[in-house]
Amino acid sequence: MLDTLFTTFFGPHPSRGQQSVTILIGFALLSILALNAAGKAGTGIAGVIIFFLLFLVGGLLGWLWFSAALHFIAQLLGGQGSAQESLQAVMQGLWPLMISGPAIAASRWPSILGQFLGLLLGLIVVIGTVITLARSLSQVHQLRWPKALLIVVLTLVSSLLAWLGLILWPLMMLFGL
Amino acid sequence: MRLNRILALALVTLCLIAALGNWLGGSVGKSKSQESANVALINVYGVISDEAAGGAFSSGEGANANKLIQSIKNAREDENIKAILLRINSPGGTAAASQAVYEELMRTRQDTDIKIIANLGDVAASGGYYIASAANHIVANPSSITGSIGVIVRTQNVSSLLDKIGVQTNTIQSGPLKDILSPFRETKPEERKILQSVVDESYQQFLDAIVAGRGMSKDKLKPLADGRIFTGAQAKENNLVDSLGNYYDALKTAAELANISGEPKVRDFGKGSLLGDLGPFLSKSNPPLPAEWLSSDSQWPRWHKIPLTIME
Repeated sequence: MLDTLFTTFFGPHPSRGQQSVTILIGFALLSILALNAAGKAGTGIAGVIIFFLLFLVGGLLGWLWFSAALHFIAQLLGGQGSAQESLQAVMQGLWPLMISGPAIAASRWPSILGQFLGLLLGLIVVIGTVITLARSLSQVHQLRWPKALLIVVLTLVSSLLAWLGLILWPLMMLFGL
Repeated sequence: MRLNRILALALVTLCLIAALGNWLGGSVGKSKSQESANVALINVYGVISDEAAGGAFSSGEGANANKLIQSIKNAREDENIKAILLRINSPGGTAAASQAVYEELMRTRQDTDIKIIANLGDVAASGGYYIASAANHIVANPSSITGSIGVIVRTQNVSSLLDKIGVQTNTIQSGPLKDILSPFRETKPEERKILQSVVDESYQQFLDAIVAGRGMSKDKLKPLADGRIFTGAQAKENNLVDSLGNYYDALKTAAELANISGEPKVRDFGKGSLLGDLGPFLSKSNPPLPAEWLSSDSQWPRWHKIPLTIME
């Protein structure tokens, strides 16, 4: 499994289809994000558990909706992968978020070097996540990676628009009816 | 392939350890500003009462006596703390709860070099003043309402109302005084005597506390302790408070009394430890009631099964 994990991180092609790796990445991501959040909130172990459970529920919902949107747009643009493969691609593509742990830790170092390293790792997290998502998608749906990148961007934009709609619609109903 | 495995494992482990460090650095070590804080801020807001101490999910807000005592104890045990700033906005509360907080403050005053400064907000009356009297220095706004030094037990007789609507009450009790304060009949003379003795005793304790805390003679205090209220300015004239000012004046006084050089660093010791505002919804203790209801004639302690002496 560690071999597959390595190839998922550094050479994605042969690793697709491994459910155990998807679960491992998901669990590691949840743990790291929950620990980061608990550290920021200054909570005890109970806080870590609560954040983990909240992120588990929120993460599952987000994962499903984001994967569905990604899959839908990928299909529209000629993608050939299945929905299950899209789900796995999204989870495995999110692995750079794990680097948020070292990024936050580095930014807490007192020197300017810590600030710089924190910023650098933060950029790696953001850019790396988008790139790995696009690469995973291109692989699963057999698309060229610029097209896959476009799909990721379109999915993000459409998700944000959906959020906006979700906020504006109740307001429209509230003031309009 | 062996190297691949090690690299994959190292990356995941490194990320997990860093996140663990983020958590421990945030919760156990606290932030640097919190570590170096030298003034402990403790808010006494609302009706002072004795509730179960908040658990992991407690928000730490409100005048829960157990929570206040815990905060005072935490401040006392913190080596960096040189002063405790009590921000009081309370119409009073139960005698026992106010006394318990007062005693903890007096213990801090006697056992440590920590200076205690009370800053009175809108109202610091009765039980609120009881707590404030344990401070080395009291700062009030000129229009703060304070005083109301006294103890009251109130009961209603609703029997004639119940008669009108045809409700009869039957009481089965183990002893003749078990239903003392019953709202379904007139208070008996022997009950009145008992209640008066309880009120008198609590009142004496209240006076003794102010005498000890303020260093005031009982003779000077008694004429002021007939239950009347004072504005902050009137209280200053009568030596019930030491100076007039707002929160920042109180903070400045705290820094002066505690010999803190430079800007005092304040840390809120009453803040909940987990999830902040979610606390009241997840707390295992009783949920807080709306503020306007709490403040309306201090109804809360009376109907919350806390008997007898109520400081209003």
